[in-house]
This record gives sequence, structure tokens and C-alpha cells, in this order.
Amino acid sequence: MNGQDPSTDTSLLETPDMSTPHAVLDRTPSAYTPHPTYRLPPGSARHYQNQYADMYFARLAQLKPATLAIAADAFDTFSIADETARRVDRVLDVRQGELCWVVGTCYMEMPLKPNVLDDIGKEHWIAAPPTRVKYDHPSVALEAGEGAHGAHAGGTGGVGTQIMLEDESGRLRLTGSFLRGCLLVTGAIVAVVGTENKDGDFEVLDLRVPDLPRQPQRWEADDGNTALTGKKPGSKKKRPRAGKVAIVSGLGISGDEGDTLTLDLLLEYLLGESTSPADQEDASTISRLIIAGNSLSHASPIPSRQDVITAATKNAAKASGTRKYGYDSAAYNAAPTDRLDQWLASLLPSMPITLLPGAQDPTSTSLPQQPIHAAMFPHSRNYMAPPTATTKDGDGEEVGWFDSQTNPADFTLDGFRFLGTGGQPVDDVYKYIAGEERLEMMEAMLRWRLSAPTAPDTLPCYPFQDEDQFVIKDCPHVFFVGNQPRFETTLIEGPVGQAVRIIAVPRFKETGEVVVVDMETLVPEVVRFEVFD
Amino acid sequence: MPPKRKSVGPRAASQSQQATLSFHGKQNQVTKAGAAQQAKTTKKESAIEEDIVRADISAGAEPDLDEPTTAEKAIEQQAEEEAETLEDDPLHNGDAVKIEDVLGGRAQQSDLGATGGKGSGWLGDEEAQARKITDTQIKRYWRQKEAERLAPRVHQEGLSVHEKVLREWDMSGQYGPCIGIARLKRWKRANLLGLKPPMEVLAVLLKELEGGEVKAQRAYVDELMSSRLVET
Repeated sequence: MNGQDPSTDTSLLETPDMSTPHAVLDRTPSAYTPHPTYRLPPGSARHYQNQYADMYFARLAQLKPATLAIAADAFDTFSIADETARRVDRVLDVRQGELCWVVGTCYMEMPLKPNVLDDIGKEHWIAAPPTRVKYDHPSVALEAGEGAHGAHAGGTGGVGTQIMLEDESGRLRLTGSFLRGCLLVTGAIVAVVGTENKDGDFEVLDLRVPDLPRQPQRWEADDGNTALTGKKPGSKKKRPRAGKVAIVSGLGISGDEGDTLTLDLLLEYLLGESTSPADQEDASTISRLIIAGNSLSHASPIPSRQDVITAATKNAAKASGTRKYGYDSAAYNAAPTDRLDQWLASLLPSMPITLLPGAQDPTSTSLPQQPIHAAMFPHSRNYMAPPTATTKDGDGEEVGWFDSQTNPADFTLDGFRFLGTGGQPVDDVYKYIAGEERLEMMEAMLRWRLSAPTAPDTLPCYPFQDEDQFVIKDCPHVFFVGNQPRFETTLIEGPVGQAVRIIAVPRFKETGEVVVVDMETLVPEVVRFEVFD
Repeated sequence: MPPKRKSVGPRAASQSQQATLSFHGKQNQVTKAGAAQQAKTTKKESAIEEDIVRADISAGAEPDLDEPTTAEKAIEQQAEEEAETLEDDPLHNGDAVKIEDVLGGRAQQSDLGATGGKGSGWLGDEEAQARKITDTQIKRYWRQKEAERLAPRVHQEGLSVHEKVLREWDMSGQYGPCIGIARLKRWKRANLLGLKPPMEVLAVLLKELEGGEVKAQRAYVDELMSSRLVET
């Protein structure tokens, strides 16, 4: 841990001094405002008979202006052999032999993508399919590695993989060696320049993406509020120095005896009950804890394929071929949620918590995952805001110390915009792209302005009809993704001076690491808890 | 799920293989002994019984055609929500309709959303502009559209100009898919996304709504594609 070197810090081993009063440490307060970007309307206002075509159309319509602006800058002067590129409106308007550029949605046809026909066939055979790590055919990975260059270690294209550009007029197949250096997934909006060859395929010479949107200034939302409510902005009270925020993910509470010790160590560290006074002072500057997904290890409402198989084989041993569809309430084990609730309730009196759901948590499986319901937390519920009559907007709702948030989550903390997910979008993008560079995939997601680019295709999501909520409108200052294999971080920059800190938060259950971000400098550091066996 | 089929006759017992509850065996006998006797005697009278019982049983589905389908209901609901956001709500006249104000200027909240949300779907005063459009303007707009084509349209002789304008609106793919969404909602969505849909179409839609029925809000192609009766 950071702080004093234990061999020189003698304050822990001194006898207690009874004369001087003990200094009481106060925790730094945090200024927190969640945004209702990913909240779905309640109950009957959700409509599931919509088609996903509406969502793709809305995504293209929202991102087209930005992509056109960037592509026009780059491609208007693009010329080969005295021919300058010309912009065409629709994907099918490209003409053979003519140099032109067009904007559309990328679609990747990959041989190992989940296919509903395969699923139907497999229903008859109980054997589980091998878990697919990547959708690309394995023989391609070697080729991509050889052709890779620069920062883009990933590559696309190969045996069976087809990349196409699509809009409401039709589809156009893309080819060319340029694509091997690009990161592309289904759903990304791109502008390509090139020409159509005699096979009818479009040979790509260059590619542009919408890039980062406008980044608000720090404290912009709060200043905007004061201006609108008529208060004088001149009387700006000096804002106190912001503290730090701790981000943890993958607590993975499963009700076993085994997961108590590291959790308790984490609890004691955050409460300031352990370590020396110097470390306790450091811990008192941590103003908020963000739990980024997978707090429970096995609580998803939809049983995975493996569960169905084990249940079926177990039942087959007893009765003949009866399948347990749905949910067997007699088998419910309340221990994990109870444990999580107690853990949160011990921490809440001292520190506010934001909880994001993950893939294994008891909430909707399709994105955007809605907040975990207060009914799961009988003790921590006291720290949540009381339920109000549902208003159409998210404004004016008070936020308690315990904020159960959506996944992905969009909030303002100490003036900075945070965007966070529980890991599902990045894990899905990982399956499309060869290579292991998760930070590059996160950077690509920001540059495509999509928090879940593969959403309707391979990631289940709500069928938005009016606009695609996954489009990122304001560039965040911090983008954190939970449940990643390792801690990684980087700082990326945008075309007009945006700067985003990307943080990949590792799974606490496996690594024991907690990321602590200093809110003044936005530099993360890692605190690791280990138990010596 | 298809509606339940009545299995007739003594073959019923052997048809179902599922063993759900065990009523067989002397120990678990639930039915009286007399009922078992009756089942055997029906074999003799089966001929008569079959005539009586099988008379009006059809194996096919018989949907109640007066009931709207889910898709229709969804579009009707959308149309009513849209009508509520209009200033002069033709469908709910007499109800206390709350007019949501269009808030301008705040960049942080999303004002998009063709139904409700913060802005009720209008960017400015499109509704007022559309109500000022006269019939002659609509006819002129339609003549311009027809002049864009070399050949005249076929199979549209019996349609009014309003209907023709609306069908052209449905078929304009640059404003998005027309299936599964009410026409007015689609217009508002296209407007909010900055695609500049024609004002004459909004005028026609508002005029149709004044009639008080939501039939015209569903795209004609939507009805064809989700038709319940497929005539062979």
C-alpha cells in the first residue's frame, strides 16, 4: 500500500498516549449528480415490439453529421492521379472506377458469431458448445498478427469474415488491405473513401470515425444550474479540494465461506479501521466508492447454458426427461445478497456508494441494465433516496448515499463527467477484434461515440425507437470499465483538446485490487489486498 | 401459442405421453369407479357422439378479428400519445390535457424523444406552421412529387391526395423504417434528428388527426406486412 514504510512508521507500535485527545478524521465530501441517460421508462411504458432497425437508423442519423464533418475535412482534398474524391449520399450510389467517399454503418459477417439456427439445432443435443473466445476463425489470427503494424495489433478480415458498409439504401462489401489495420465492429459508424472494383466490392483507401464529442468543462453542469436558477454566479464560493474515489468491481460474493476475508480487509481499509494513522488519513480522503458490476457471482435471472445442462442431467437421473423451465423458488439461496447487503450497510454510514450492475447481477440481462432494486437490500435501503412518484424526467430526484445505478452509468462526480460500464460491451467488442489490447478497444468505443457498439447485434439490448441512447453525446473525463482481467489505464486525447482517462478495473475476487483515482489530477493508483495462505 | 384443441373420443387418454400427476393405480384413484365404467360404454355410442361433438371443431386458429393485434394496439397508443402533445388535441377534447412546454437551451439533459420526455418532440413551432398550410399548397407539393417521376403512378387511382402523400412519406427511406411506428411519431423523430421532413406531410397528418381517428397513423405497408389473413 502507499504510505509510510512499515519499518520506519513506529506510530502503530507505540503505547497509546492518554493525555492528548485523539484526532478524529473527517471524510472528504463528494459532489455527485447522476444523469438519467440510461434509465428506461417504468413498466408499461416500455415497448418491446419495436424492431432494431429503428435503433440502427437513429444511430446513423445521430452520428452522420459529426462523421461528415470529419470526413469532409480529410477527404475533400483526397486525390489520386488528378481525381479528387466526391461525396456520395447513399451507399449504393458509388460507381465503378470512381473515387468517392460515403458514410455508413459497419456490419461484420463472421463465421463463429452466434447463429440462431445453430442454437435451434443444439437444443436437441444437450452437449454444450465450446465457449467462443473470438468470433474470427482461428486460422485468421496468425495472418492478422503478421500484417499488424503500429498501435493496432488487432486486425480484421480473413477466412469467412466479411466487412460491409450499410445504410438504409443497401449494403456494400468492403475490401482492401487498409482494413487490416483498422478496428471495426458491427454497429460502428464510419466514413470510407475508395473506389468500387469490378467485383462490386468497395476498395477502401482510408477510413474516418466520428471521434470524441465535445467535452464539458469541469463543474459545467453545476454552473449551468446556478445560472438557470438565477443565482449570481459571481458569488462563486470556493469549492473545497476534491478527494479521491475508489473503484472496485467483481466482488463476486457467492455465499461461500471463502470470500469473507479480503472483503473484510477492504471494508476495514475504507472505513479507516486498519493500518497506521498516515494510511488512515489517506483513506479518509476517499470520498466515494463505485462498485462496477458483478457484486454477486451467480445471481443472473436467466440461467446460463451450463446451468440448464446440469439441471437437465440432474433431473434426468431422477425422472424421465422433465426439464425445469423457469425458476425453482425452493432452491433460492439468500446468503449472497444478504452478505452483500450487510457489507454495504457497514460501509454506508461512513461513505457514499454507487452500485452498477454487471452480467451476473440480479437485474435485467439486456442493456441498459436497470438499477438493482431496493428490495434486494433491506439494510442498505435506509441509505437510499425514498421512492417518489415516477416523474417523466430524472430531474429533481434526490439522491441518497447509496445510489443503485444503471449499467452503463453516466454521472457527474466532483464536476467531472464519468462514464462507466460493468464490462459487457467491452467483452463483446473483444470477441470481434483479434488481439488482447483492451485499452485500444475502449479507446475505439469512445472514438466511435458508442458505449455499446455491438448492442443489438451480439449484445442483447432494449429496442430504442426514438434515439439510440448508447450514443455518447458529451465526452466524459473518466471512462471506467469493470470486470477486466488486469488493471490498465491510459489517457487519450481528442481533436479539439478533449482528454479522457480510461481505466480498466480488474476483478477484485481474482486480483484483490482496488483502483483509487485522485479527483484533482485524475491519476489512478492501485491498492492491493492479499491474504497469505 | 395456438389455442387449445379439444381431443375427442376415447383416444384421448393414450395420446398424451406426459405423466404429470400419477392418478393411476388403485392407491391414487381420484375418479369414482362409476366414471371408469362410463368411459367404456361410450365406445358403443361413439358413432352418435362423434356426430354431435365433432360438428363445429376446427383445428385451425380462429382469431377474433375485431380485436386489434399487439402491433396495431401499439401504434394506436403511440398515435394517442402524439395527439396529446398537440396544442389542440383532437382526440381527447374535453380532457384536462397538460401541455408540456418545450424547454430550450439546456445542453445537459436529453430533450429528444418524440413522445413526452422533456420537450414533447417539437423543435420549434412546426405545429403552428403546419396548420397554416392550405390544401392548394398540399396539392402543389404533390404535383411536384409526381413530376419527379417519368412514368405515372399505377394503382393509385382511387386514393385521395392525402393518402397518396402519406404513402409517399412511408416509402421515403431516408426518414427511417415506417413499420412499427405511427406516422406522426416518425415525422417528429425525423425532425429531431435533423433530417428536415417536409412540412406538407405534417399538415396532412394533422388534418387526418382532426377527423378524430387514428387509422391513418399506421403505415399502409405495415398493415400489409403484418396482415392476419393471407389469402391463398
